[in-house]
Amino acid sequence: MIELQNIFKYYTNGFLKTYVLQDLSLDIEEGEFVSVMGPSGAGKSTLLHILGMIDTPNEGEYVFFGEHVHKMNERRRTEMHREHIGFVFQSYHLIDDLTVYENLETPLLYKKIKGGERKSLVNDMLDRFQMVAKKDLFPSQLSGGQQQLVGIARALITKPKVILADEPTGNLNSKQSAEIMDLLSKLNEEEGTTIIQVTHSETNAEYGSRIIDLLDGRVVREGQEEVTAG
Amino acid sequence: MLKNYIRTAIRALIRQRVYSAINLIGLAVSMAVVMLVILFIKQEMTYDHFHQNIASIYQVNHHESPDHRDPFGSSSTPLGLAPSLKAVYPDVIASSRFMNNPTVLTIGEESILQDVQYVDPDFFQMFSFPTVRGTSAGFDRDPTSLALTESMADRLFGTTDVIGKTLTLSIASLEKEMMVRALLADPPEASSLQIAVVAPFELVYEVLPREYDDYWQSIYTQSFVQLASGVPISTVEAKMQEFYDVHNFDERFGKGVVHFSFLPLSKVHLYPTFADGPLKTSNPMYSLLLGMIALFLLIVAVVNYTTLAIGRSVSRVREVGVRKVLGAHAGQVRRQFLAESVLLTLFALPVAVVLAEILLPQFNQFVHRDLQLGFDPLLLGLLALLVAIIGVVSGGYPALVMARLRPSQVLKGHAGLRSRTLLMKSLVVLQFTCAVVLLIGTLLIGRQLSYLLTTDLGFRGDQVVSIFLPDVSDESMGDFVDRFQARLQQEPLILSTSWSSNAFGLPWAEFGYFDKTDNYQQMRVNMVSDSYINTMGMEIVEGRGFAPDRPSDKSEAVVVNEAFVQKQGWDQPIGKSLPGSFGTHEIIGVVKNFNFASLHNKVEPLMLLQSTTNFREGVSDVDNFRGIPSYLQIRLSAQDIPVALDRVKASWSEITKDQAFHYVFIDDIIASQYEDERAFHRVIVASTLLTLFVAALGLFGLSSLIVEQRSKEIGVRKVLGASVPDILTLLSREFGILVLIANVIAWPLSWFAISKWLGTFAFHAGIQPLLFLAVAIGMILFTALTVTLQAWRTANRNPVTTLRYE
Ligand SMILES: Nc1ncnc2c1ncn2[C@@H]1O[C@H](COP(=O)(O)OP(=O)(O)O)[C@@H](O)[C@H]1O
Ligand SMILES: [Mg+2]
Repeated sequence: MIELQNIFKYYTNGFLKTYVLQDLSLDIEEGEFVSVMGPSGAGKSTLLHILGMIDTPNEGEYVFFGEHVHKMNERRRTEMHREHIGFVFQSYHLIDDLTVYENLETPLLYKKIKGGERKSLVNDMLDRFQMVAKKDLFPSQLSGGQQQLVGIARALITKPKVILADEPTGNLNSKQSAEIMDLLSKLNEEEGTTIIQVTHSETNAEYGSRIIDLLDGRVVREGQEEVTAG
Repeated sequence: MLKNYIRTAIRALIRQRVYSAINLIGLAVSMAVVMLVILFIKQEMTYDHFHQNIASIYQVNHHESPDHRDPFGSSSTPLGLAPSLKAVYPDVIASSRFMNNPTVLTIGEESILQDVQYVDPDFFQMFSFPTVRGTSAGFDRDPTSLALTESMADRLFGTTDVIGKTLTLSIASLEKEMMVRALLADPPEASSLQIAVVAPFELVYEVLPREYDDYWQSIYTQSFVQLASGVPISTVEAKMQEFYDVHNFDERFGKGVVHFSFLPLSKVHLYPTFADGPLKTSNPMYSLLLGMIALFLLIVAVVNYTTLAIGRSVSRVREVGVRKVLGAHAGQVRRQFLAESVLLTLFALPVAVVLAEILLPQFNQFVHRDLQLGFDPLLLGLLALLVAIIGVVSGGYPALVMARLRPSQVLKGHAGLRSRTLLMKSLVVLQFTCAVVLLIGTLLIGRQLSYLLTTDLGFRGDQVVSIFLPDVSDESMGDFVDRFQARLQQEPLILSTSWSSNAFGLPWAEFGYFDKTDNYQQMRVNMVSDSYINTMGMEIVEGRGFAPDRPSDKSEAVVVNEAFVQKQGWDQPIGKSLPGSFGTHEIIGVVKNFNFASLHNKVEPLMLLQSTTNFREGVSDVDNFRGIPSYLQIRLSAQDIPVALDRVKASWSEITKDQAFHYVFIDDIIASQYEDERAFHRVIVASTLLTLFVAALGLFGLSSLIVEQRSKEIGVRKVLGASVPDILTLLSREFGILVLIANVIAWPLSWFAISKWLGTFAFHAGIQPLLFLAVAIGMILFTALTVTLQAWRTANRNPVTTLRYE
């Protein structure tokens, strides 16, 4: 349901054109769990930003659930963010002036969820991420890992159809990391949520049903994950 | 959602508390000034609105347009006008004259000189001056009725329980026992008719002959008429010409020379036809100027908010990007940032109210008002509107820019909005233009004022007091003045004395006459005693002054001024006579030009003489002429002025048997002529200081932001070998250039405004180009200093600290 056709993304610096993504085509079906891998600078974040409609490609077509993204206006894109996409940033991007609780609440406010329901959704998330004691702290009072957890919780709270996660466990210890991956798998299996994650960890990548390897903006290997015994 | 906006806004304001404080102070100061100005302008615009009949009352104004001279007009009208209008036109349902005359009031042994208002019986029905006690109804039957305002009653009798009390009123030779019949509420400040002691107009006829009612070429009193409701003034106006021609008994005035106009009472204060009467009038120019000043201050504060908000955007753009990815519409982002600026403005509001309350007494003193900051729905509404406008205007641009940000631009790096764009620069220029216009204005107005007060007026008034002589009957007058002068001459501390018929600071008599070639000419005239030129310290440039020992000087000698000689084009004025057909006389001397009126006026041709007897023939018209000694000028020894003054007072008491003693220094008269200008100057000095303060705050904040943003560049430059002064120059130069541009833009603006204002003076100090340059240099130094204060730390920092994190 997510189709990328011949996507190019480049930056120009003077006369120099640097390609970040080159002629990239990709099909992802609803309910898939995809892991994107590749060395630093390969364009993984850029790809995710494009998928998340945060960035736009210079060339190529992007079709999201049958709709051409480049034909969407600002309002429609906002709609998509509100209703269908949950984004986990590589560098968390929490709102500094809001507490943990308020950060989680913000997407619900934009989605116009009523007060009572909002409260229970937020408390649910706080519970699930074991952050109840931290709910009134500001991001600057949290460790990197804790911030990352809030970032993930914030992406999940609206129950989006698609979750885009940019190295969601980069700052977590292995136990936390495994818990998050389990959580994502469960969402994928039980709710049919489409998940696209960027990861450096082979272990994490294996949670997905498919791995896409990026190198210099091109897909070098794409394949169904063979289940290998650990 | 709104709660979320407000929460974020408050936290952002707290996190960046230095900038919030800068903005809060700037906005509060400017809003406080705006409040004061609104109070002032509101009062100006609602003058006389407390009169229930305001819509149907008109002031009658008098116009003359003879062929041979410039048109003349006055708010003063013929004596018979108001009663006649009521008698002739049924549409005129009420009319009253209003004459304000200094009158001596005696209660028991005490007597004081007090302005008394003489009005017709209709006065209290027409105007809403409520009676607190007693009744004003007796005014039409009993000419001994008197009405007092509460504060006047308190002043005269020490109580407001005054109904039935009596006092003696003396004008000219009249002495009348009056009974207080009505106690009136004090008139509101916003009343152009200021009443204190109101007496029946009938009394005037005990001084002036009743035949004067038919002298339509002479003007004596203000006249007001009230029309039946719904009758437009045009119906009366249309019939006025016919009315006047019928009542125009004087053949010397042809038909159509005189006409009358009607001014609605609502315009009497701010848009008087002629501002020459006892009514409190003012110039709308001052409201306009005050409004402009407040606007300038507001612009400076609002620009502070805008530039600082954009400058700080670095720390907010990421948040905007995140919010958008979380589902925020551009409109929601806009609203969030607007909420922030509106909120800050709201916070500034109570501070502004407190500030306004603190500044109010000073402001009142500056503008000579007694304004109150009370609960007032209009003011409240305006304040709400002001908060909304300031909030939206100051936060509008940052909000728009923020809302337009694309998440992709801001979520990767830490790109901020560039704070050195053309727009930002223009805003800073705008801000400084406002400040510089005010600064130049302040300095030039200050110069003109000191010029007005220090320039050589052609006489020396510093040690001269003037006393208004009692209006005793003609026969005893000469005797009284002689006795008083003789008494004063015994005092060693009194150098000389001299009487005159006209006083400094008031218009002198004006004689119009036809010269030998039948050209109409005018000159100013003052009838004086022989020692006048000496007492006033005037200078004879040709011929001689009056000699006390030459009897012919008393009736035939004339001293003219240089302007007179110049107008006639004479080389040799001494021994000549005036070009009209007057009786025997001779010009004995020429006095150096002097200004008896304020420097708003030119020096006109003028003559001094001791008696006008030989000029009765040959003069075609006369204005402001008092044919009797009315003022006594006394030159005191500089040795001990207070003691000298005491001696004058003692002599006065001796001669007048303890009448109240009123005196005024000529210098004080001169200074009081510029009271409006001085009040305005005080206001503009204060607001310029406030504006500069707010602008400096903004500059301080903005430069600290820019220094912060350029800290890496500064580090690099230092590694490349730049010294600390190099860095400071680099940072100051940018602002210096903006300030210079602001100065250049401000020059023509302030030049234009100031030359308009200076144009109201016949004499002025001029505009000094050097001053403009000095302001520019001063402002640039000031800017450099502010920026340097900010940049010093950064410029001195070890480059490693700024470069390491890259
Ligand atoms: N705004 C930009 N201007 C120029 N180059 C950029 C910009 N953003 C990203 N890049 C470049 O694009 C490449 C891919 O970046 P990114 O997608 O963040 O890689 P990854 O997430 O795989 O590490 C990098 O080489 C990076 O320097
Ligand atoms: Mg990345």
